[in-house]
Amino acid sequence: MVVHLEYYDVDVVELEPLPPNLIAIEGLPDIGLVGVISSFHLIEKMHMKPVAYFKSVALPPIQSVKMGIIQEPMAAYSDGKLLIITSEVPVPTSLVKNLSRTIADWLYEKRVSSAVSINGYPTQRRIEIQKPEVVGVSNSEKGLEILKEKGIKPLEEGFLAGIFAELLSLLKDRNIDAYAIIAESFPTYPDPGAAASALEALSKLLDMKIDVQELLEKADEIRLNLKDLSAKATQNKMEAVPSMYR
Amino acid sequence: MKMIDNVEPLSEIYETSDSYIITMDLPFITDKNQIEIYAKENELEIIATMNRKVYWSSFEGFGRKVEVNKFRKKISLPVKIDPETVKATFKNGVLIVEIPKKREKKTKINIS
Repeated sequence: MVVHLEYYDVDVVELEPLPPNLIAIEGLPDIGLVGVISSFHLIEKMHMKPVAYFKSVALPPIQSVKMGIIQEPMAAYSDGKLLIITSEVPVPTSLVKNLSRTIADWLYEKRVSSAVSINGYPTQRRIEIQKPEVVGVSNSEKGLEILKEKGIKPLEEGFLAGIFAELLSLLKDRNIDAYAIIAESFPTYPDPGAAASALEALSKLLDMKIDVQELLEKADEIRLNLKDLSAKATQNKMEAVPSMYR
Repeated sequence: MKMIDNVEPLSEIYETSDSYIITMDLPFITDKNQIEIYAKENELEIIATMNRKVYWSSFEGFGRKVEVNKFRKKISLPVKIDPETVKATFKNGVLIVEIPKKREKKTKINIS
């Protein structure tokens, strides 16, 4: 049987010119919403503003509204040093390939210096863990050495699945050093504790101070308000990843 | 502000060889005494009451904030259970309910 998969186009709409050498951070919805929680914490703490947004017919027809004005749900934010890509809506399975490619091409065009994806890896024993462990992956030997130098344990072996896995490979093709920071996470629940651990690793990798105390204090609020997004992201992940790799 | 008390928590069910395990994420619940669990032969109902009203904005509610103070979820079970054998623990904001499978007696059938 031939199955026809339809891949949808993604457009990037830039709101202002971007300087070169930004460090890109990808925090799209995935396991435990670790990337989303981390991204919005950084955006808020560093007073970042939207600099671009992503449009596709495959995205859910949702707009968030703040102070009476629509806000594009999948957007990039910057403070002149970091360029954070995140989303308030889940990424449909049909969009994963083209969104990854679009992001990789855009980051290449914008001449970012490097890219870091923030993710969770599911562990059933998360309930027993007070402080989730973090491992790192790079797309180059040089990147691997940097991870080790910064005290981030490399993931020795395993499978990566999702946008961040695609991005690591696509950015390698474009000669951009890329990393994934992956924290132990609840498989299906939003996990601010995992996000705090991931951000601590990110602060080591980028030599920058990131205060996670406020994030941990707001953990209950985050868990409650992201439960719908988490449920939809989990459902999409289950569709996208073959069962043998889950 | 609109008040609702029927927020459905995120939950997950998985099966082991001898039991069904249900986990439930219960933010704003800090103590096991805030949780009530009712078990029937084919259904489990869980109610968890927060110590205060909190704001929640859902996809379905177009992101508008509503006040909530209670989680409630009914779970239909795939098989009949013995309610007396159900065990529950609450740790780090997550409820775990373990439902042992009923041991079914096997009858050997003679071939005529």
